[in-house]
Amino acid sequence: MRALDSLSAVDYDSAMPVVVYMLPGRFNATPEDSARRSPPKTLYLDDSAVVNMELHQPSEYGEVFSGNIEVAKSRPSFVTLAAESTYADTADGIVVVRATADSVASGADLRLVVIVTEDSMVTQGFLNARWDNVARRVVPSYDGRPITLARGDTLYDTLRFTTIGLNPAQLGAAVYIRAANDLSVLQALSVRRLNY
Amino acid sequence: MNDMPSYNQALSVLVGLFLLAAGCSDAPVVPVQETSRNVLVEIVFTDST
Repeated sequence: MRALDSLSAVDYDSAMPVVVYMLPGRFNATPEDSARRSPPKTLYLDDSAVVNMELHQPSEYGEVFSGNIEVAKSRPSFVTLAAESTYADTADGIVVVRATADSVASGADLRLVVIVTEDSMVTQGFLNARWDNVARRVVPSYDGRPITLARGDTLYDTLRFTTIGLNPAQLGAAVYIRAANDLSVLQALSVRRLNY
Repeated sequence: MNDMPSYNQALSVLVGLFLLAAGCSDAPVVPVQETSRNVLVEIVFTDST
C-alpha cells in the first residue's frame, strides 16, 4: 500500500496500469500467480523485474520507481489501446478492447491480456490493510489471446470473465499487448473502473 | 502551344513523383511513434510483506 502511495504521488495515473499480486495464496488471480510472479517483493515494469523492494525503504519507492518508469516510458510504442466494459449477465463481465497498430513489425506474434483488478481488498489479520489494484482474473490467461495486427489495422476483441466472488463496484483492469517471442510489453492501458 | 503549360506541369509532376519514389526507396524505414507509451506496473507482495 505504501508502495502504491509512492507511485500514485508520481502522477502517472491513466498511463500506468498498476497490478498487485498477493502471494503465495492470498487473492490469487490464478493458480499460476506464484509460479509466474516470483520472486516476491519485486516490482515488474512491462513484465521485467527491475526492483527488489527489500533493498529499499518504502519512503524510497517513489524515487526508485520513478526512475525506472521514466526509462520504460522512453521506449517507443506502436499500438493504441482502448477498452470498454459491460456486464454480460449477473455472473459475467465483458471487456471490449480496441487495438490500433500505428506501426507494428510484420509477422509479429502478439498476445492480448486483460487483468481484472479489484480495489478495497482487506487482508484480515494481516495488518488489516486495504489493498487496491489486486489481480483477480487473468483473461484469457497469462499466455494471452493471439492477435494479428498489421500497420493501420484496428482490431476489436471481446474478453469475458466471471464475476463470481468479486465486487463489481470495485473492479478495474489492466490491458496489455505483448510480443510472444520475448514477452516484451508493447502497450498497456489502465481502466480505472469497469462500467457496469 | 496552348497545351504546353499543362504538358510542362504534367512532366514536372511526373519527375517529382519519380524523384520522390527514388528518395523514398533509399530512405531508412523509421517506426513512427504515434502513441504515448504506457507502462504496466506489477508489484508482488507476500503475506509477510
